[in-house]
Amino acid sequence: MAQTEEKPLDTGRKGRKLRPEKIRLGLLLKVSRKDWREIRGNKQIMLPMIVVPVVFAIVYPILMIGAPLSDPASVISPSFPTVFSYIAFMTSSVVKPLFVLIPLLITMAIASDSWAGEKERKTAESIFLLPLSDTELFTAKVLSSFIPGMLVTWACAAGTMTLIDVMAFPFYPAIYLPDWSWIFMLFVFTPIMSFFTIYINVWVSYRARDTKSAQQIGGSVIVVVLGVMVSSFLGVIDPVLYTLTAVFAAVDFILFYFAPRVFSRETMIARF
Amino acid sequence: MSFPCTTRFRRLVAGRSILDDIIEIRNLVKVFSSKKSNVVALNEINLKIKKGTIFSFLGPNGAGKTTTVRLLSCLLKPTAGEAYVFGKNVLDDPVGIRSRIGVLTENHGMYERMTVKENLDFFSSFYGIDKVAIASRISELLSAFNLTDRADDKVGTLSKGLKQRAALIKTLVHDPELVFLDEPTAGLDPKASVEFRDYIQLLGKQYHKTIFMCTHNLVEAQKLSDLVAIIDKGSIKKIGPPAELEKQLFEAVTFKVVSARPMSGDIALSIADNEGVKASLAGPNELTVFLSKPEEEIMPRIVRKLVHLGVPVVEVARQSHSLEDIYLKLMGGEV
Repeated sequence: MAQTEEKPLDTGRKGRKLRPEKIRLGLLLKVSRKDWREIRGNKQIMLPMIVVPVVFAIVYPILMIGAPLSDPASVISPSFPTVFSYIAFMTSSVVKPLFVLIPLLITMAIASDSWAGEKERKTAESIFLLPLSDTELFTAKVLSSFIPGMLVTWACAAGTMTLIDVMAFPFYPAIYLPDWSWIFMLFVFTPIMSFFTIYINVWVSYRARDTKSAQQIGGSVIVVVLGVMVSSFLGVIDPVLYTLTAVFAAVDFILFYFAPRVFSRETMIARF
Repeated sequence: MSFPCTTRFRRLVAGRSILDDIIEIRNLVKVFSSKKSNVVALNEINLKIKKGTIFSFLGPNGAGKTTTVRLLSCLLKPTAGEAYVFGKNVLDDPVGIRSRIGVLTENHGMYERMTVKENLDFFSSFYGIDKVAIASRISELLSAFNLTDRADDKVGTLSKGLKQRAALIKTLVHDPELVFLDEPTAGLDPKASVEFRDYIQLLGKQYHKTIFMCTHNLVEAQKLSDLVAIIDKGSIKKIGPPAELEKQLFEAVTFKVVSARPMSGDIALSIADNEGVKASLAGPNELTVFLSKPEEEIMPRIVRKLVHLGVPVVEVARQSHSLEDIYLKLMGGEV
């Protein structure tokens, strides 16, 4: 077997993305479906996915709104001249912010496992060998977290709104929820916030050695953001909500554009 | 004045030379850089592999075998030099190349919480193959590799040998033209290793796949390979068919001559001459003859001379050097 004698050639193409890549959604969803199947068998992820929604969407509203209403006169005060004003306050100031927490906690649990979990299970190389581009792989991992996170949030919100409507009905004989601000929060704000959490956590997971360290690093970033956000919610709602929405939408756009382009199989493989 | 057709012709000719070889590597360099150091994993390696070849890449741990596979399967990018698979540069069409290759990694790489069948369905669903065709191919491969009855078991419950078999099915399920096998029998018990070797042989000989196998199992490489390369510290030390490597590395060809009666020491002296023939007694009835010239001309003459000297020759056998001898000679005894 003859060996060629040419001088080394530098191709000059290292790491360059030549053109905008096509995203084949059908193939991405196959990766996501596989991830969901894996998640179902993972207690570390399933536990927050079950406990967080049950506590935040059912237990918490019953304790904060339902329990005091067993004696309606007890909630009447100068701040709340009617029972319904108490329900409205508790709903918007105490229950509503939790619907930002639910998707963030769920998506964080799934996203931090995305790449770190593949590394731990020694399956990363197999998935890298699939005929998918780097952008497609990264996007698939984002969708794996985003879709269940939002579905669980919307299902919980439907349950909580029904529960509050039932509890409020004796004092407000009409459908109270959803109102415009809930719709905005559920379909605009929480998806935008979830994308932010997912991008951060998928990125951390991509750099981390294992799921635990990914959760710790990703979680600390999210807790700081949440602290600022939830405290802002108390008192004034809508102006803060709209401003945060605009800010995080801009951040998401930047992440959406740059994160998949910076992601490369090589970086992860070199760390094996 | 240059004619456009000349340039086009040159391109055509260059393209054809690449297409003749399923893999072509030219002066490939891979350096892993970190803040602390730069590690040269591959240092200007050159390699050509033709379609249908069973190729073995031999070398100690850390020699650069897995890095080469990862570069050829477009998981890593070359630092310098060029690598072509199916005539395509690995930097130009990684998705296209990955859709035509199958890679059995050192770890089986299957999802342990999913069943064998679920894993195969998942991994096969990215190649645009019709669902019915894939289902029949999966069941055909499960049956060929004796895994049909374990298809619905979770991968985590299988033994290492069965996992490796399932991983080989995963590698072949989309009918790749080129199959990379990275340490395919590492960690398998001897029976499973033999079975696995048979599967690899089947792939090459019956299914005419091009196989690129990384191994440090020399017996495996010798039994299976048409072409062998020995790599150490990122450089290819030797490349060629095992028999050719033997000729290149060992000057003398050795023959064993067995007599029906014990021989005296004078016999060895009497057949040695100045034309590159040496001999020594290996036992009372066995003579070892070393030839440094083409055996076809000399060996019949030596046998005639032995018979003339009254030695009742009952067996003459050529002693070939094993791949292990070749490897040891190249690596200076390091295995």
